[in-house]
Amino acid sequence: MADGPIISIEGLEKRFSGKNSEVFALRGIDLAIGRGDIFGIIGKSGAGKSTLVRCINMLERPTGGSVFFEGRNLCRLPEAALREARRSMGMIFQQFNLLMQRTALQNVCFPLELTGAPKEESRKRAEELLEMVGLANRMDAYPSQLSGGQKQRVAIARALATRPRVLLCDEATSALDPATTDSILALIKDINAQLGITAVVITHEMSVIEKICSHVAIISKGVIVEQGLVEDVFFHPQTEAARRLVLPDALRKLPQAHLYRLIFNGRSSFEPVIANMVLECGCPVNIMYADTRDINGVAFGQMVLQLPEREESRARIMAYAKAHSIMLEEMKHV
Amino acid sequence: MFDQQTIEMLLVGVWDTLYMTVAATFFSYVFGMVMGVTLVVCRKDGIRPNAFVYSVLDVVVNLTRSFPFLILMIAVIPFTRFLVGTTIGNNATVVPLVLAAAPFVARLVESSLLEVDNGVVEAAQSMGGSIWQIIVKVLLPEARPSLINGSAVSAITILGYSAMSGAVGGGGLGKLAIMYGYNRYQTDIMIITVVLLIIIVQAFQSFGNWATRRSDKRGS
Ligand SMILES: Nc1ncnc2c1ncn2[C@@H]1O[C@H](COP(=O)(O)OP(=O)(O)OP(=O)(O)O)[C@@H](O)[C@H]1O
Ligand SMILES: [Mg+2]
Repeated sequence: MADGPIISIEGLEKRFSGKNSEVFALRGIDLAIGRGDIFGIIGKSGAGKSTLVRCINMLERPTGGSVFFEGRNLCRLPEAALREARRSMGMIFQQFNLLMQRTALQNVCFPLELTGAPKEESRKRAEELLEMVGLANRMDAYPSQLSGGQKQRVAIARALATRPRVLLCDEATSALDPATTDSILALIKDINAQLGITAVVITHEMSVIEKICSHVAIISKGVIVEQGLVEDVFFHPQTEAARRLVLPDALRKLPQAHLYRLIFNGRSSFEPVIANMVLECGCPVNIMYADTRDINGVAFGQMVLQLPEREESRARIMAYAKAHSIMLEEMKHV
Repeated sequence: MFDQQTIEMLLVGVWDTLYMTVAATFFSYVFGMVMGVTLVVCRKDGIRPNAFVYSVLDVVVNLTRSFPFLILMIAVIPFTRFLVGTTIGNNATVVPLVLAAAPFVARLVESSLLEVDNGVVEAAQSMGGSIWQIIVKVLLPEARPSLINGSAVSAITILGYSAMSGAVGGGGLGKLAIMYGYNRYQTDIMIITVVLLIIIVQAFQSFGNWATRRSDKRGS
């Protein structure tokens, strides 16, 4: 059990039945989330991300398939055992969901109160956790007196109170500004590294995945269309949905012919590569788009080039790239 | 202006009104709270949906609420006699007051609890909270300001009912107003009872507002 995935999802299905309509929010989901991973799940609005993460702790009851947590099928657990299992999975939300009539400290004590832990002990643990998330001086503040980032820190401390082994994050940074987002992501990464807590990160932003995730699954219309290591999906997106996430929307308006994607790792830089290629091949290229991304702490650059009309020139450039192990691939349909 | 006897009578009237109001409010909350919580827990998107319990309770509440109070009071006279042994006086009036107010309280409690953000309830569920824990530690405390505000509204409504009960055997300021003002044309006594009622209502409302504001930690 120790080596197997901490969470594994098999053939998961969630159907919402209305009076005269049925929505398949999730269909045939298979996922294995390894212990200690930061597992990202990304998709557009309405793709089924929230439903999926809520099925992991049974806030939403799946209509088919199974969810195993540490080898136990949560779908089959009786209510009391399920509540027990939920204590091993902390959850944080886009809207923080703090108790508004309790102070930060009382909020963090709350899950411990639910387990019936002794008051004094809970209080000590809550204080430690608030210190850890950097709120030692705001313990007696009410949520209404805290900023969004501070509220999410309280929520994280609260989610960790019962010493869970998994942290489920549903769009935890979507209500925050970029700088605060980065600090919350860094905190989640820290918690993962220091406490060894597996994190499941739901988001609609590729940048969140790039910054902290080791693995990613792409969900589209209730189906997982692609999953794997973040680098693999980034370098070799296999599906339309993946390509769309890796490349910006603006590219979709460009002329579609002869577009190629060029990827560097952080050790090289753009200019000499392009310049040398152009000089050596004797034909110009058009730079349509370029950016750098930080994937798991390593800077990667990507560039979209439009290569010449002439078949022969393109072949020469491809040969050059191959010879110099430059990752250059044609983009079929962006 | 008034003789000793009149003043005494007015004081007793104030006491009777307060007694009936406070007692009836208390018992209305005992029953109304249970009904209100049950309605919220059992509704379609509640924490333990139960269509049968919900619709039965919903119909009962609506039925009781559509009875005019005076008719209800007369209709339950046998029940009142069974419960307190008499049909006049303060304690006897409390019975129909509670019967009339409990469903009203149930609706107020229901709407207060529905104001609690569903996300907070989900967060508690994600932490393994049981239904009872969620009611006691999330729904009720998070709705506290709104519940306090509702209790002032309820007390004032019950006060109004108790005044009405003066027409059919109830005591208190309502009886005095009807007896002196309506039956004997002693307008001065009627005016003073009305003024006293207004003062009591104001006091309840101000206290309710103050307590609501004080208990709410949501800022501004
Ligand atoms: N309780 C429900 N009843 C009916 N349909 C639902 C329910 N909850 C979700 N759905 C549907 O399931 C689909 C997936 O919803 P979900 O909330 O999981 O999307 P999401 O990926 O989290 O989107 P967002 O990024 O907007 O949060 C949507 O089509 C939604 O309309
Ligand atoms: Mg969502």
